[in-house]
This record gives sequence, C-alpha cells and structure tokens, in this order.
Amino acid sequence: MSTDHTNWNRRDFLYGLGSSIGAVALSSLLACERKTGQLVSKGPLSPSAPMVRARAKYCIFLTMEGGPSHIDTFDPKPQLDKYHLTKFQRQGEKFSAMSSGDRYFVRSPFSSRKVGKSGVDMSEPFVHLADVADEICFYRGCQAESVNHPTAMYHINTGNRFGGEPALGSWISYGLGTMNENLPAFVVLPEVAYPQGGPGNWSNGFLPAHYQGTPLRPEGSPILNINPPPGVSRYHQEESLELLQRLNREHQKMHPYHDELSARIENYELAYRMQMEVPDVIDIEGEDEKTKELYGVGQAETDVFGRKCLLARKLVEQGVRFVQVYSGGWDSHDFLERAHGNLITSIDKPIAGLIKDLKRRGMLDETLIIWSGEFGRTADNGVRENGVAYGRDHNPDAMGMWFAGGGVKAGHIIGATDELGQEAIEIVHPLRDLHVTLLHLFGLDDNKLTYFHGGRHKQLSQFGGQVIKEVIA
Amino acid sequence: MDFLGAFHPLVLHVPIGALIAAFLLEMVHYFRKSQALDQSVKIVLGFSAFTAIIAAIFGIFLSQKGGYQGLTLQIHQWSGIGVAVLSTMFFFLKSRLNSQSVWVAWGLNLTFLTIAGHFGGSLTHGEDFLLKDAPDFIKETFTSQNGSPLFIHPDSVDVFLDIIQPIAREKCNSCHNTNKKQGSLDLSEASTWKKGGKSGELFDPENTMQSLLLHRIFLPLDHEEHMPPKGQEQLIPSEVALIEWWLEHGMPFDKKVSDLQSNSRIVQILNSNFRPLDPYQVITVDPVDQSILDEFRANGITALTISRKSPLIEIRLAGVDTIGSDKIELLKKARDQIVKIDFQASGITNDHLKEIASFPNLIHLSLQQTNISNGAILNLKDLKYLQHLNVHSTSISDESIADLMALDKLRSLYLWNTNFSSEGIEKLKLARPNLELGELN
Repeated sequence: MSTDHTNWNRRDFLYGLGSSIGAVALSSLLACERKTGQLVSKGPLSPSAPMVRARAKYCIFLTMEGGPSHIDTFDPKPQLDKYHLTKFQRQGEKFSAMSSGDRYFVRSPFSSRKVGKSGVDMSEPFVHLADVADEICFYRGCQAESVNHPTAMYHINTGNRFGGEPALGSWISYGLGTMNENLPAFVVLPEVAYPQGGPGNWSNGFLPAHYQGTPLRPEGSPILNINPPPGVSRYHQEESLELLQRLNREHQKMHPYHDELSARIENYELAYRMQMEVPDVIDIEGEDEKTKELYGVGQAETDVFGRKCLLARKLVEQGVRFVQVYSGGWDSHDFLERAHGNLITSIDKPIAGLIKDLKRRGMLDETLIIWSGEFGRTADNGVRENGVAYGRDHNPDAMGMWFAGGGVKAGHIIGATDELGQEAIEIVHPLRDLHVTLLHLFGLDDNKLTYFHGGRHKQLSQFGGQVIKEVIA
Repeated sequence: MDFLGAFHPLVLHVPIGALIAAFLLEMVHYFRKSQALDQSVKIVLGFSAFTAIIAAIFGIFLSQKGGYQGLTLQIHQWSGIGVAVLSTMFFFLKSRLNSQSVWVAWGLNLTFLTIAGHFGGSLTHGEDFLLKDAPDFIKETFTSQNGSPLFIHPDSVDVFLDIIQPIAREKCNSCHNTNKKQGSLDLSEASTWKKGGKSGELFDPENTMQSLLLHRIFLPLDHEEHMPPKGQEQLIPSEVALIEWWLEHGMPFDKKVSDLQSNSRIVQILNSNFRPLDPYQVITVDPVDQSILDEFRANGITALTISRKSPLIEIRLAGVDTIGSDKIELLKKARDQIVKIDFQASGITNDHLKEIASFPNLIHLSLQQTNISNGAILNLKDLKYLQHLNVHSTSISDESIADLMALDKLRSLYLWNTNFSSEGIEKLKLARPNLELGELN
C-alpha cells in the first residue's frame, strides 16, 4: 500500500510486462482507490480510513496460552458429574496419540452459576468478572485445527499453523495505521517466558517490517535503553541520530526496495519519538490508587496480569491499535483445580477492572476485547503417571472464547458445544472465520486486505472465510 | 338494497377479469385473424358490460348504506360507472368502429377500469395499501418525504403521532378513516379520536381502564364487538401495552415519551421499536478537498474519513496541549464534514467550544480530561445530531444538569470522575432513563 511507484526495479518491470494491458487498467484503478482511500499517505503507519465504517478502533487481545478449559470456565457441563471417572477407550486415525487409548471422564472441580441480568454461565472462581457479565458475548462455536501448542498459537495469531505469516495486529496496522505516530501500532505484553512459538506469534511475516508487534518486557523497564545514557544530552543524541539516518538514507538510495532498511530508518525515528511519549504511557505508577486497586495491582495473585491490563488500557487510550496481553500456563493436564483455579483468580479481577475502566472512560464502545486460548480442552483425560490425573487434554473441536465492547452482542451466549463439551455443534466456525470477523469489526474486508507475496495476494484468512454474524450487535 | 349492496365486493371482480380476458382475445385476434376469435371477443365483452352494470348498481347501493365518503369514493364511483357505460357502448358500437378506434376504445376502457379498481382498493384497505409493504426503494420513489426522520432518542418521540397513530394506521384505519367511517368512527387524526363514534367517546376519564377503546380491544376474539374484528389483523401484545399506557396517562395528544412515566416493559418496547435512525446515514455532505486534509495533517491534526467512501470526517486532537484559535479556524474548513472530534486530554477551553458548536453535523464529542467547565455544555445545545458526549475527569458538576438535559439527541454520556453529586446523577437518570451513563464508580 505504501510502495512508491515511481521507481521500477527489474522484478516490477517484468511483472508489469507479464500482466500487460490488464495491469495498466488495474493499476490505474488501484491508484484511484488509493487517492480516495488513504487520505494522507506519509508514512507506513499513518492512520488510514477503514474500508467501511468500523465498529471497533482498538483491540485488546487477552491470550490465554496453553488452552484454557471451556468446561471449567464459561461452558459448564453438569452431565460430566454422572460420568466422572467412567473409563473408556478411544482409537482412530482422527485422534492424536494424546487423546487415544485408555481414558476416563473428569468432572469440573468448580461449580458454575448464572451471573448478570443476562444469566450467562461462569465458574465459581470468577468473582469480579461476574460484575461485568452483561458486557460480554460468549462464543462457544469456534473450532481450532491443531492439537499442538506452537502450531495452534501460530494459527490463532497469524491465521496459518506453520507460522511465518503476519500476526492479527500486523494486519490491522497494515490496514489502518496507528492513531498515535509516537507509539507503535501493535504492542505485545508477553509473560517472562515467551509463548510457545516465540516472537513468531507477533511477527510481521511477509508484510513490511514496520508492522511487527513491539513486545514490552514484563519485568523491569518495559523497553530497554529508552532513556539516553548518562552524559548524552537530547541535543547530542539528536545530532548523532541525524547522522545515522543520513547515512542510512544514502544507503537506501542504492537499495530502494530493501524493506528492513526502510523499517530500520523508520524505527530510529519512532524510537526517538517514543522517548518523549513512552515513559509517561508505560508508567502505571502515575495512576491513582483506586484505579490500581480496580485492576488488582499490588495484590499478590493479580499484580502481574493487573499491571498488563492497566498498561493495555493506557496504550489504547493513547491510540495504539492492537495490544496483545498474554497469560501463560493454562495447559492443565493434571491438578486442574489448583492450576486453573489460580490462573482464573489471577485474571479475574484484572479483566473485570479493565472492562469497568474502559466503560467509565467511554472507551468500551470502540475497543474490542477478545479472550481466548489457542484451543479448548477435552472432557476426559488419559492415564498419566500410571494413575488418574484430574486434568484435561487438548481439544481443537471445542473451545471457549468471549468478546466485549467494539460492536459485539453484549450479554449473549452464541453457539453451543455438545453435552459433554467435546465438540462445537451450533454456529460452528473455524478459526479463520474469527479472523474475518475481527477484521470486519475494524471495517476491513479480509478479501480486500491483501498483500502480494510469493506470487499471490495473501490474506489473513488464507483463502477467505465468513463473518460470524451472530456475535455482531 | 343494503342486502344487494353487500354483494358489490363479490360481483365487481367479474367484469375486471372478463374485460381483461376480452382484451387478450382481441390481441390474439389482431395477430391471427379468425372469425371465431372475433365472435369470442364480442361474447366476453358483452358479458363484461353486463356484469359491470350490475357491479355499478350494487356499488351505488353499498355507498347509500353509509360508512364511505369523500373524494376517494367519488372517484371510485364515477370511474366504476364509467367502466359500465363505456363497455356497454363499446359492445354495441364495436362493429361500426374502424380498427384504430377499437384500440382507442380499449385504452379508454382499461384506464377507467384501473382507476376504479385502485380507488376501490384504497377504500377497503386504506389509502396506502399498495405501497405499505413495498420495498423501501419503491416507497421512496412514490411517497413524498414529509416529517422529520426518527433519528431522535426514544424519549423525545411524540406519543400520539409517532406511536399510537402508526399502530392505528396498520390495524384500524382500513375501516376507521375519513372516507369509510365504520361505526361513525374515524381514527385518522387527533380531533376525530377525541370525538369517538356511534357507541360514544373512546376515553373515559372517570374509569380509564374501562374506556370504550380498551373495552373493545379486550373483549374475547369471538365477541362480535371485539376490535379489530375477527379475521382482520389483530393487535399484538406490545401494541396493546402501548395503547393501555397511553390511556393510563389520560390519552394525551401532545405529549412526548419523556412526559409520561414508563415502566420497564414500555421502555423495552420503545427501545426495540424506536431505534433512532443512524445519523451517519442521514447526513449527506460533499467530500472536502484532499488539500484541506493535508493541511490538517501539516498542522498536527489527525483527520480521517470514517470509511474510504464516506465524506464524513473524524478528528483526533487528543493530547494536543495548545489548541489555539488557528487550529479551530482550520477545522472550520471542514465544518460540515466533521462528525467526531476527540479532544481528550487536550488544551480545549470553553471559548473554543463556542466555535465548535457551529459544526452542524457533530455526532461524537470527546472532552474528557480537559479543563472545560460548567458553561461548556450550554454551547452544545444546537447540535442536532450530538449522540455521544464524554466529559469524564473534568470539573463539570450539577450546575450543568439542565444544559445536559437539553441535549435531547444524546444517547451516551460519560460522567465518571466529575463533580456531580449522586443526587444530580439520580436526577439525570430519572429525566433520561434511556441515557447510557457508563460505569460511574
């Protein structure tokens, strides 16, 4: 979209020849669209208008890495009590080694109750989230494809199980730019241990390097070297950066199509601008005590995730388009009660606080919150360590996720899983439809938001998908 | 005579069908001349003429019975008689006409038939029967746009004109209109509602819930006085609830929803029926020149159209310390196109807002975390599309309540962290029960 068409290299020339007259017509059409579409095309991250009016302008993606159990959170299966510890065998090509062999059903260690005016289901450990239940749209029909963590993480984050493709946040910043040019458009708040699959989960893939996610460190200073070293004034720094940029630009003239080089130039400029803006934004200590308390900051169980949620709000408030917040360790193959119980407690208050805070600031209308793992969990478990373990295996056929804010149907449960929670059976959609729906809420059409790479126009959903209409208000 | 009159709706369809059949036969005859066809045309035409006369006579009987009057009836009556006379003359004179005059005669006959048919339909089914269920694009072509579209908040809806009248139009006016006053009752305008019908006044102030109007509605469906009569489209429960609610408040004709007390059921019904029109779709303006947007950008103003095809513009000045009158002057270059301005944490002042208030199409205004104060809200009173106002973390207080209440298009208002008292908030909630106030704690 930001490619400069005045310079032609050999490859472009050949492409042009190859597609001949048709390309002439098409490129003039495209040029027209660019003219009306992108109002100001200065930098690659300049804000640009959505294709149609958007319901959401910002996204906070709460990523529960490891695969949270839908059965023990928002999709209770009381039938499992009846079958608890009933043994059975499962074989077949369709099932992974993990879900084959001797198995037994496991009931949920948590009771569940209806909360909010809308009467949606929530397991007991969710205490604070119940206060904002009526803001949430629970979706039970989504299906992942992969049973392995890294591939499933790549799938939900980039639309492709193999990785190496642009992440959701990259696609959105490619389509819309940032509202605040002093900050990156796509920020990631990972755990100390990066998720399985590593930084590939927020990679720009084949998109220009400007669109990669910027991770902020979870411990210590969120961005290293944000302040000039002692003894270097801002004036000196500016001078030396100016020299560096001049050299880089000279170099760039010889390589006009070198993506990484132009991204590097852009990054230096962004970094310089960030020095002004970032220290304020990432400093959550400046928030008043009541707000910190709202997110559970300062309390042992919730401090880590609470800080990240509060930071996410501050970033969105400053115009960052896409913030991904990770919570890790949801892979409960055993000790379900303790593991899931603690994790739920660690996110419960922070997420409730986030929703309340966005709501009172009038930001929830335009901010889409997504809560999801990379897949769901099974209703049964395999024999582990020669005995019964109260846990659950990976389950791509059923998962739990929810949305809040930005144009979704608040206080609704959409879709359903079967009576044991093994498989989605109503309003069933593959992950790519979630991606298409996300872009749709941002006023972007998955079929039109494409990037020419490897000989074809690539898109987030890989080959098209459907909008999940039922979740849209 | 009344007895025969009742057969008018039955008989009238015969000449319509027969006349059209005769015309079709004539067309076939034109292409494939044959003696037999010519004979057939004559026979069917004769039959049409005969039944048209009967239909016309029965029609006159029916009109004598009463309940129908007005221009619609006049047109229907004379065009119907026209069909009878014309087709009879045509039948007797046809053999003497040359081939050209035959087609003229057909044209005349069918025109009268169409007019009689259409106005007959209007008498029975109501004036707008033809277009009532037509797709919107057809409706827009054929009906004039009068009255302002409903992009107002449910609270500002006129109870009689916008709620009761449309129900009556759907369910009552086909029998109770100015032309056809069944039971001498006309439910087409406020004055005739007040008058009532043969059985008396509709509203009984002594005993509201036993008023004639409700009495007839609540009679069992099989009862011959039940309204609407069995076989006709019935009122649905939400409509009955709205009528009941209206009578409970004394059947007022000049009140707005906010003037009447509404319970949660009424609020729910109103919200689902009176979803305000989306101003984003109502506002039509030309796009501004690209150079203006470039100028905005050069001056540190983030400006975007709301979509790639829309001329409407969103402005972001969040965090800009010094707004200054130069920036405001600049924004005026797109005053008609700007629908949203985000002044969050900027240096906006009450004085700037006076200028902003002259942007006629502003829908969304964010003033949170700024130094604006109580006088600010009064400036916004003329913004006819203003739906969202954010003033959280400002010094706005109870003093602004009256000014806020005057913003009757407002749908969401963010007041967290302001100087409002809880009594003030309650007062606002009471006055504007549908206003979204977000989270306040």
